[in-house]
Amino acid sequence: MKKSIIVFLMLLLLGACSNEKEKVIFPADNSASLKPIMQKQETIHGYKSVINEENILVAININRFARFNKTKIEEKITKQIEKQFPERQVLVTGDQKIMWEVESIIDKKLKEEDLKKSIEKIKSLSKEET
Amino acid sequence: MDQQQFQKIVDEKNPKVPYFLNILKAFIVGGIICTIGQLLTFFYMRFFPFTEGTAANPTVATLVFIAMILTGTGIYKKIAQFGGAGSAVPVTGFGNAVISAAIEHKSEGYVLGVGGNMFKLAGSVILFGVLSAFVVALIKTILVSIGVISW
Amino acid sequence: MVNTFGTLQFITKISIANTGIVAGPVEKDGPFAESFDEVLPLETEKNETNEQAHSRMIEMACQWAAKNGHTQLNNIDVLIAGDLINQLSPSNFAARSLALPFLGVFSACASSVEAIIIGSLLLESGNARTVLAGASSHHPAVERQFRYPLQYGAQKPKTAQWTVTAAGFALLEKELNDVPVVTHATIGRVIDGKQKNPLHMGAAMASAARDTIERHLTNTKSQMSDFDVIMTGDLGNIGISILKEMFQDENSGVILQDAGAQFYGNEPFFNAGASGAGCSAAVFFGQIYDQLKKGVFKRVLLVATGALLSPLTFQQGETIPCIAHAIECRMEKRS
Repeated sequence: MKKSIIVFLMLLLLGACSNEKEKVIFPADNSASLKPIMQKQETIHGYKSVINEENILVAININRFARFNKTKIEEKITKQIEKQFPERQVLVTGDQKIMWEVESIIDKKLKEEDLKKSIEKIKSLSKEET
Repeated sequence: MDQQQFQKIVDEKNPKVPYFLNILKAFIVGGIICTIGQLLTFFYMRFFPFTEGTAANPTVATLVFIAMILTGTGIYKKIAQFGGAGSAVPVTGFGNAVISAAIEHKSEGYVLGVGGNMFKLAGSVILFGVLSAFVVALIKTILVSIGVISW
Repeated sequence: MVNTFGTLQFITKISIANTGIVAGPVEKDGPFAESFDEVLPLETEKNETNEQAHSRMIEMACQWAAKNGHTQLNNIDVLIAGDLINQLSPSNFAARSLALPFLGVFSACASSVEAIIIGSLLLESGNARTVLAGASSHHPAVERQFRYPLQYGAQKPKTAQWTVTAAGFALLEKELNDVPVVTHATIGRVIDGKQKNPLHMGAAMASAARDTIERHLTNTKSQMSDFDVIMTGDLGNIGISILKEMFQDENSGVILQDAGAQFYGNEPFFNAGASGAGCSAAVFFGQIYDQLKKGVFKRVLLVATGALLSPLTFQQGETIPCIAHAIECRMEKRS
């Protein structure tokens, strides 16, 4: 019993170590000018992004201790992206829920209409107040 | 025997409070409660449309509900005797304070008994919580308006 | 009757004809359990308030005391009772259904001995033939009044004591043979040891206990070693060790004992031990009475200690004044 707990804890530990920092932009062909902006951010260790004609959705993994400045980091990145894409609506968030939603979009490889719907859903979700 | 001598004996005989052990116990119990809370938050985010910001509400409600069952069955009291501040500071401690008072005063009826006494212990938590929030907001407003920090 | 600063000597043989003890379910595992007449299966029955359970327990104890003493309840001249609840309501309500002439007494946990002293005086003066005297406490009812709600999770320190659920009543009559006799009593003074912690009442009460014991020994011209045991009411583990330290008598270590410290048999769950008006009543009229009757003890001093605090006074920052009443009981040799 004790042994199995130790093994389990070790697995968790090693699992945490080997978790690769994913950096994905979907659809990939649209990523040309977004990628350099995201690459130069030092306070994050991963991001997943969804882009269509009107919206840019970026879910970011903020470094552990930089999370105290979550709002500031989000704002900073939003401004930088807005400069690059003035015609699109930008949403940058460190929220884990949005991250999961974006992941599910990427996994399902949604196209056109469905993508638009999902993005709208996520945007309304993130606007909800407590 | 005068007061001083008596006080000396009392101080001598008083048992030492094991501060370090108490802190450790409080850390473990508080940590376990908070871990359960975090798991609940993930649960609500994963399976329901809650974000990190909004998932706190159902989490708190669930924790208070669990505290209610533990209080009613008398288990929370035992956890508290072991954990001390570890069980009093999380929201479950607040729930326990409200629910234990409500159970206790049920014998005086629902309006004057339960209604009137439910927040007998928790009332001060609410009052000073609101008061300290006001003070903190005031300080931040002043600091922002003189330009030391930004929102 | 000679009065020397609070110590009374009874000329008449004030005999404790019998006793009745009723205790709660928590108390049945303690070392004194075999001397209880009845153990309640539940502290509070369903659809019953704590206070109702409390007064039912008092009635039961009175009935046991009368029954064991082969007396009809309605033959009793006076009932003297005390408890810890506001306005003595459980005792009053019990007296309502027992329909006896009733005196309510309060000196916190020292009520049991105060009731015996008043009862003895009534017998001594010839104004009563049988008196039922005693005290009681009920854990949920007392905790609720003096501390937090019962299920509230507040960590109790090592000095805290557990209020017992018990009622102890003694049937006092005159001139009986082969039963313990109350020979002396010392009325306590209110002593303030300048203690402020309501969760450490043993320290507060120790100085009152010392004052009463010392006056009793001086006034009766006796020494600690003359007694088989000097039993204090509910000082608890820490309170009794403070009291022992205050007497620099080499006998104090053995002869001074505390009912509260022994009540739950040193179970760490109860921290410093038991407290409450029912604690001293249940032990004095239970175990000690039985030992006297059997002849194991010949002469004992029973000192019930009471902390005269209310939830109001300690929140207002007052110190805890305390009182201790003592009775001396003797068992004459069997003829």
